[in-house]
Amino acid sequence: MNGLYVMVRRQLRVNRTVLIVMAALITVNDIVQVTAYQSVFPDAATRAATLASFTSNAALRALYGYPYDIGNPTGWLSWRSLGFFVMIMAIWGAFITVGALRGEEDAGRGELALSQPQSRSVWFAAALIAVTIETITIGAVNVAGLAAFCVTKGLMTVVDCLEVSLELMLAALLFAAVGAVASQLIGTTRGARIAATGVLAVAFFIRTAADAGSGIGWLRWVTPLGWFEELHPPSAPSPVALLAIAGTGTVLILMARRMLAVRDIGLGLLPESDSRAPRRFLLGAPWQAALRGDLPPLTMWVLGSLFYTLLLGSLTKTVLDLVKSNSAFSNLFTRSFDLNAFIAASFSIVQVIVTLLAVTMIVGARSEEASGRLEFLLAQPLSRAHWLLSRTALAAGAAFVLALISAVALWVGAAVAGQDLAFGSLIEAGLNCIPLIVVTVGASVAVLAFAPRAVGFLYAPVAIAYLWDALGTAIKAPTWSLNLSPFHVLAAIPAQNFAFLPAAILTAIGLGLVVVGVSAYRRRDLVTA
Amino acid sequence: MTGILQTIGLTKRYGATLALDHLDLDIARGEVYGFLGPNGAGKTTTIRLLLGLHRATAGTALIAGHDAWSEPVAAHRQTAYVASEPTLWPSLTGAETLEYLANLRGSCDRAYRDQLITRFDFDPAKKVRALSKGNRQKIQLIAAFATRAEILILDEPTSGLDPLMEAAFRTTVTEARAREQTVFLSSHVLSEVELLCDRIGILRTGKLIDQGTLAQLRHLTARTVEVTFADSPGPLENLRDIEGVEIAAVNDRHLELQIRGDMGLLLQALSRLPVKTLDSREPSLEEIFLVHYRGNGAVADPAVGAHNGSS
Repeated sequence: MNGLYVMVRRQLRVNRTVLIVMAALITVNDIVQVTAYQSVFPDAATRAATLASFTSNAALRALYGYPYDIGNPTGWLSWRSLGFFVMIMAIWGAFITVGALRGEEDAGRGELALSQPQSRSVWFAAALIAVTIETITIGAVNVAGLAAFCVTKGLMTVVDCLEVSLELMLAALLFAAVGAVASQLIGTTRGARIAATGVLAVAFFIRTAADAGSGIGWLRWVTPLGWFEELHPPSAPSPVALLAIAGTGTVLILMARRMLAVRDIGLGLLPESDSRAPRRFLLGAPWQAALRGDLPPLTMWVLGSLFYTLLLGSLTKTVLDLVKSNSAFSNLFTRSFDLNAFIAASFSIVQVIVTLLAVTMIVGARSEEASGRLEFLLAQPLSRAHWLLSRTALAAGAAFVLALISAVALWVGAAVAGQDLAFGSLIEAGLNCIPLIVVTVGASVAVLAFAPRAVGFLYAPVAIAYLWDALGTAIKAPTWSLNLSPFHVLAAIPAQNFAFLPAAILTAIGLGLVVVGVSAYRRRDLVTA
Repeated sequence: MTGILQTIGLTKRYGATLALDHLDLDIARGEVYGFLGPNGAGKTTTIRLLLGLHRATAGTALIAGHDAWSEPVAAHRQTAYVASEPTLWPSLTGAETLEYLANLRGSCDRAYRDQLITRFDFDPAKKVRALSKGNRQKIQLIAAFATRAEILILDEPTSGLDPLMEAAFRTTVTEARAREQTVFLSSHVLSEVELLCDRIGILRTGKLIDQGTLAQLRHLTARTVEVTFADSPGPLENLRDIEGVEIAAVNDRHLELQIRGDMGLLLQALSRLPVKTLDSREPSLEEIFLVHYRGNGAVADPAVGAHNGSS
């Protein structure tokens, strides 16, 4: 049992950063959603009248799921936000499980652990126990946060908080089981993660079809995301959905355990060719090789953003029609709701995605250093400044391209739905991401230079800055405190005109941080993990 | 003459730990220099400083006249490096890795590279992920030697290689020497160092405790004398009293001695005993190495013990 304890503790240690970020992100988001809802719809009478129309809108159902009890704060939270965060939890659960199983094998530590007097099933159990403990931690933080901010104000009951958290936790646990199976089938960490993400993508498309179409509600029972939707707090969770989740999870875990028992450690069950003719593209410089290595995840980022922005674009017409028919609805999103406000609000999500991508790219640069490969690379005729600047440019470039692709997709989505948007204003919104990207990349490079092991924490300030913009606006926080968030100071294009001063200041700060970071990076010892 | 690879008072501290203490090296063009030391002696630290990957606390390292820290790119144009841990890019194949490294350097003797691929019996179509440590090490060796760089810095380059491949490595180093390339070889394989190196430096706890050709190092270390007797030789007190003689092992009719300096007195004393056979041999590098490593105080002071060697 001591071995199990040691292994569980190790996994908890490995994932502690991302655990903190996840718990904070989800809890703050939930509080923001409920608080904002309360300030927009102070009384029940306005809710019923305004929100009834949501149910009949197919595009909204596709995006967020079926709106069950949106006259109630918990129901609103469950519709507006859980659909999205269930997917975040699912990805998180799958990723850390793959990391604990396939990732350890990939790194050669699996062999080491299993050469100890530890059975495969104990090793497997340790990974799942760690995920379960982490999932429960997130759930508990979420319950505590909602209880402190929402139950005390009478917006939710403790049971509501528990149900909301249960839905999130079940998503993580079910997809942890998916990750466990993917880890047995596929011989690389990245491959297993992509497979698990693929399962989620298919589940999402089926859920979208089921919710958007009429008369095919049964299709919801085919997809795990449909089962989570069937829980829809504040109503009591559907026993059939609970059974489907628990049953599928159990079957998957038993399958994974059985597969682990019969296969070779270090290899996946699906055959994979170890040899191939050389592919010589993108091998000319370190940034090219980095881009080449990142092509599969970058494709996922682009596809995910494309899907999201196309869908949002196609929603513009329906949302505007809704607004015309009911003015109270406009309060939901912003003070003066019109086409431009909707586009600006949609684009703020693009800003977050783009910023997170920039951080991810710098985290990738850090992992080159942590793995020791950078030592080998810098033993070639290549300067540190050159290496770091090229990786910085790659991060900024990838993020910027994603911003532009999203802008164009938003326009295309709207055009398909018959809504004319000014193409130029969307490109302007894309360009308006530049200060944000530059400041993010600058801060990341500075952290890489001064505290290399802290680079992974950078997701937290991005999430906090974004959520503070939302929460602070909802609770009418003082302007100076809102201005601390780069998301807040930039103009919400196209709802507002381009604001030169904040954009210039952010860009200058970002460039300054890049200069400081690169020059400090040139002076420090390389630090491996 | 100033060497192509030089360190002057090179010192590195990591917090409270003194990893390298005033290292002075001067390695001539075309020389094969063996760098020995136990684990944690500071060999890899020295290499990191030579490559400008870590910054020296004091002192300088010069590579072909370029400061290792402030002019790394110019220095690395003259240098090829093999790391002790072959951490490469798992998703690339061997051929792709070699291509990438050749692109980074901007030059590569492709004909020689192909020859090395054959010599090291390497399959370039395989992904790095699927390669054993020895095979990943081969990629580094092929890439480094194919650069034809002036200076080769090799950190335990044969770790993970089988004996056949070690022989291929020795052939390759010999070729490099014939081309006047300079080799800095950090190694634990003493036979390899003994066979390949013109000069050897021994590092312990961050200090260069001895340096010289193998012959010079032997000079400092005791010879081993083995004696067998026809009869029991009786008490050996008079042997013990001879200056420079230590009795290493004795049993009935067999005696093993360590002697430093002249053998005359010892031979005189032995002539009075019933000697059947007498065998005297020079210390192997392994013995020299162990004498230096045991840290029993019998180690030469670096300032006194270091020879100027062949440079």
